[in-house]
Amino acid sequence: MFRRFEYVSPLNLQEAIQTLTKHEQAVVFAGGTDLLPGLRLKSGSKKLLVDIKRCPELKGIKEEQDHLSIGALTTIREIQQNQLIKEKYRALWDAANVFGCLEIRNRATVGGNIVHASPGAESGTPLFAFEAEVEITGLQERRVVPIREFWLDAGKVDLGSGEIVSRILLPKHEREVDSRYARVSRVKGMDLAALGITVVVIDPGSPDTREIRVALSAVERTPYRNSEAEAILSHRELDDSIIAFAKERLIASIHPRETSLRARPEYKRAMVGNLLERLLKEMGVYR
Amino acid sequence: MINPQSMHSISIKVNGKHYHLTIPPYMSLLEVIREELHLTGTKEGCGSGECGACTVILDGTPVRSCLVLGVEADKKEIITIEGLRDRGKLHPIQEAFIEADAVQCGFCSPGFILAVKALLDRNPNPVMSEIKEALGGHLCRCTGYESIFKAVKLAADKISKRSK
Repeated sequence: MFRRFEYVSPLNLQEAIQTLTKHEQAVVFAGGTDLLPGLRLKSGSKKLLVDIKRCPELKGIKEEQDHLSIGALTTIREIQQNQLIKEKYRALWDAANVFGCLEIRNRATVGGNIVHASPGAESGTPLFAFEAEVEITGLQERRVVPIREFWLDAGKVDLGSGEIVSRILLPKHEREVDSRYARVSRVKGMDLAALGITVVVIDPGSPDTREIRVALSAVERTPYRNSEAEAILSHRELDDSIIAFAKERLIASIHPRETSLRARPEYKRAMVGNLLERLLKEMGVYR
Repeated sequence: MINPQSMHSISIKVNGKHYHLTIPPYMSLLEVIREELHLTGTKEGCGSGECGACTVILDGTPVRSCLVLGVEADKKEIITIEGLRDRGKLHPIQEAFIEADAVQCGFCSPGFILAVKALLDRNPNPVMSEIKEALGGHLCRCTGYESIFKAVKLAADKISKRSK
């Protein structure tokens, strides 16, 4: 049984934004997989759930001139089933494949995954590594911010009252790009990530121009890119000593919190280097 | 501008039968099914989307009915475990679960069986990795998963033989 709340389901984005602006206790309701379990708690103020699932502006995956546009209501299942994402943004596809379970993927949305700003959010590292932008629509204006600026702190994003995340924009690749996401979790099936990593390789075939990006989740308060590891790995042939050095620096540079429920800091440090090495091998840039 | 109301009217089709109900917005689809329609085959396990016991098929898609509001199901079609029986006869998936000893206490079975139905409807011949993906969010604490996997294979065989 949920605690009492009220419910409206506007038919378009403008109506949704007006409702959010007018009612102080209004909250956006999309997939509900994070929101609804929280409403089982007995305490808390009476809310107005604004169900945005009937707003057509927030749906669909579309190729546009400079980017791939992903509507905020796109479900994780839709990401998993999208061939273009699988081919061009493989790390995001990988993350969708391990996200929750099938029934959760059928409901959970990519917009919901980022607005909750969980440090271990599955879509976090792929979106950081692909330098995604977040389109936010408010009553008067529409603005676009890079995901690293949108994601302020654990549970906190740059979203004003009356504003809705409308789309996520993935920049088109100008060069060849390969990418992978991997995580560690306590059980192989439905679980949250104890540690997540995305590695993006731009120009995988030519070491001189090759750029390697490394994004981590569940080690700091937000997902982030580890510039030290990126600098060590980019623009050179990768041999055993370079990999060993990158792993050593990566391990030394992370500060997982002691109070994590999912893994000890020592375990996260031990795993992060292994995952990095594994993903580089999977993409064939290091043997 | 739209104004919130305290009660909502919904029309839903459950197991082929139409219902018109007036419900509060904070009632989950699970509660609508159990408390309003008295279809108690759908079970509440964790109540927070983690165990899969309350799975129903909503417009062809398996969902956790504890994480769907009743008001969201307006104008939609729902299949619960009671909807699988056809003129008094068990569905082949139900027969397969019995024959493969995939039911012990039975509390998780309705959720498992509906997840299997949704799987076989979209993919009549799943390989083991596809079975595991479809059932990955379903917890069973007594029967054991091996006999459940066997039941899925058996159910796929039964259904493909029948359609020949």
